[in-house]
Amino acid sequence: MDGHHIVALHWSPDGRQLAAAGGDGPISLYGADGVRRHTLPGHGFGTLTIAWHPDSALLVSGGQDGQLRWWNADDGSLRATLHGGAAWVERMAWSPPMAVGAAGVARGRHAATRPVAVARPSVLASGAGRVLRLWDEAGQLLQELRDHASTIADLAWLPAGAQPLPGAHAEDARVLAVATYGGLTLRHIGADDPIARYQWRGSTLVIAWSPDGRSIATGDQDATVHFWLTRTGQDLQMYGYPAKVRELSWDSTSRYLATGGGDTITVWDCAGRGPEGTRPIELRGHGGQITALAFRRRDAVLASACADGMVALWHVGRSTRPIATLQCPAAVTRLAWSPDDQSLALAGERGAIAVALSPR
Amino acid sequence: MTTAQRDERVPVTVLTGFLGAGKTTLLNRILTEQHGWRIAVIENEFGEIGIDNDLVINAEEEIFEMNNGCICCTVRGDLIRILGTLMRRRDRFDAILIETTGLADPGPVAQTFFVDDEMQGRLRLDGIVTLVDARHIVEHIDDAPEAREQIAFADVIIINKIDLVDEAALALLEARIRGMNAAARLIRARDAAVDLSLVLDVGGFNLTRAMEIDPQFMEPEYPFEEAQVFDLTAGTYSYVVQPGPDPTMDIVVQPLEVEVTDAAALEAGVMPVVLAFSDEPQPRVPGEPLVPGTHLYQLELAATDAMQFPVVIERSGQYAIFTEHRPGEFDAALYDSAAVVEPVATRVFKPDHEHDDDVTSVGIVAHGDLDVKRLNEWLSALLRTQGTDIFRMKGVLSIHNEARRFVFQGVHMLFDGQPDRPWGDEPRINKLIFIGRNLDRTALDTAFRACLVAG
Repeated sequence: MDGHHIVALHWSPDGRQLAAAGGDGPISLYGADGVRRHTLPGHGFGTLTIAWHPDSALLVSGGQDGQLRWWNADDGSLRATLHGGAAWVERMAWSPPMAVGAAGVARGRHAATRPVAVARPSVLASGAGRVLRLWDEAGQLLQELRDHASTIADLAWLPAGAQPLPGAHAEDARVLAVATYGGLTLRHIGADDPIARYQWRGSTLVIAWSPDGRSIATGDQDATVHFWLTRTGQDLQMYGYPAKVRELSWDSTSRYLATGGGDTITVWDCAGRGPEGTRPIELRGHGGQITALAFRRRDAVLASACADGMVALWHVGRSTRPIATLQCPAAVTRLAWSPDDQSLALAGERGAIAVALSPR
Repeated sequence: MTTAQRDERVPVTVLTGFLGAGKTTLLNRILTEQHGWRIAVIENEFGEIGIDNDLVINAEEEIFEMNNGCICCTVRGDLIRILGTLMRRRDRFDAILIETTGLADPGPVAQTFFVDDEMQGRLRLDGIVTLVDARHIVEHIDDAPEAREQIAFADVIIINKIDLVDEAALALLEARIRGMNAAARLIRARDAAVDLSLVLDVGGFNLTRAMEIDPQFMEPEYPFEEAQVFDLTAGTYSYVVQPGPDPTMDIVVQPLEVEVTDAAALEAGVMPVVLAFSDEPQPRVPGEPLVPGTHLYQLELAATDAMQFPVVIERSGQYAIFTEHRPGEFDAALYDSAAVVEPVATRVFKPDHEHDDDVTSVGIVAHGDLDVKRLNEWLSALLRTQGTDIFRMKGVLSIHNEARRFVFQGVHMLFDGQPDRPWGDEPRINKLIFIGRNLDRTALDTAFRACLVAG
């Protein structure tokens, strides 16, 4: 995508398409073979965010025109254009396909209380300014909440497969975490009042829910990382970063959280009593600002990208030296592992997109 | 000597000013004039530029508190987000202009550029431009702390709507503004019509230009309070003075070599008059003539009604009448055979004593070298205790055993400094200015001099 700064890069959940959004607007869809299949016009003034529906047939984009656009991924046609509620639509997230429900809890004394997974239609959360909107798959507005303290900085759903949160709704235990200045709010679909508020006098930039749901990590403007423990609401604060932290990635076991915020990768080990009181693993070798981090799903192999164009792979917990490096001609801004972990997509500041095969 | 490295970062100008000062008019000019610049405008949520332009972005002001090391400050979170996104566009901008709301404190906007490293890498804060309405700003200065802050923070102050006030009021206003912010450049304008080069690339936060912007704050104490400039054709005039608060007034009628169209251009004519005022004055009773030139006269004003002093102009041209007191205190005016001659420019050299503004500038000029340890201790203690009251500071320092000049500038508690070019043959003189609220001139000066290396 010539000259476009890639702001979002995501594989479809089935791994058959890769979507890349340029900061000036256009969105390209590539097949797994690397051939561009469609170029969508995106948003006139600039695309800010894209999100794949779990069924891989629908891609939604949000942009600087205040709109959400619903695209058919197979033919690139526009299904709907809907207003996000403020000038810029900056964040979107689809709820996971299989949602946890504590089924049976409300159905009498003898009912089973162990959680079971129930298939539910996915819900899209969009954040535009202070306005949170929830949409169903057909693009119907389900709910709007406008009482946020500041612009919504990030959104994340409790991952599929996670344990229900304490106090979660019995029927539908899906929870959305919303970050604004001043902390996080945790919300159920359809409820006006949050089920929890985590307050912090600072500006959160990004959030990442651990796959087991036990902690929400945040990267903050004031060069800190927080772990909010969802069982207790406790806040663990990690200081000492040289710059604001915008890069977070959990490994699939919820043991390691890799963080950027400078030119060193800091990995927190949450095994045992960690990360509180532990020294993090520091991965050095990049010669500039870390711009993206992504763990692969099957093991603790971490990909990192840097403003100087270097991409490195690390085996966290085994060695603090990279297992592979790749030098690109311009800054790499986004990384995405394919769902089968077979390939790693890279996107750059000047629009180059590459797919590297994953080492064994 | 200096290898001037080209700064590739996009300059950002912050535009402040009360509602009605003319910000929207100025923004419209910037967006529609053919100046060849590609300028993005971040407009405040209450702005109403009304131009359908994809270079105009509407921002809702979000002020965040931020810890930056041990210093706590406030920043504009919305700007960090919006500017971060703008920097990802393929089409680069030549400049970015940020309009603030009428009552905004410029502090958080300026601080945003000091604390965010991503922004520092791609953008540079170029200057703060404050637009004031010539007619109403005096009330605002008296009543609204925000107006005083906007003046104090500015690198450039545009006095707009000058057609709505007379020359004397304008001169008075300029003197008052200079008393608050001695480092800013003052520009007069109607309908916000100003040369964009005076607004968009002023280098207000450029360290190496820190002290080159305007030497105004080094202004000495003048022996006269006002100068009025007249365009006079040859002939006989009469300077008429009514009884006033003082029994005498010293006066010089100075022919001007260079044509003066506004008060700022008077600068060159001032020094000879300062010298003339140190002479022994020649007494003049009403009816005795005043001869143009560097002759100091003392008008005897004991009479109980109007007193006339003939002024004979042999050569047509511009003349400045410098007076020990403000002519307004005596209803003094120059008459030709028919009527009052209006001055084409007026400059007030001392603000009215009645305005004891809490916002002032303190300039320090000192020869000698500084002990870097003492300087650091003093500055860090000063910023810790008085940082909230210090809006801007900048200066050039001579550090002991350092061949290069040290240039610095700051906003509140945030401070940025570095060595620049060698002093070479230039005399090693420390020059610095603080602009702030409730500044104690004597204490600052004494404490600064205590940091000088003895000898």
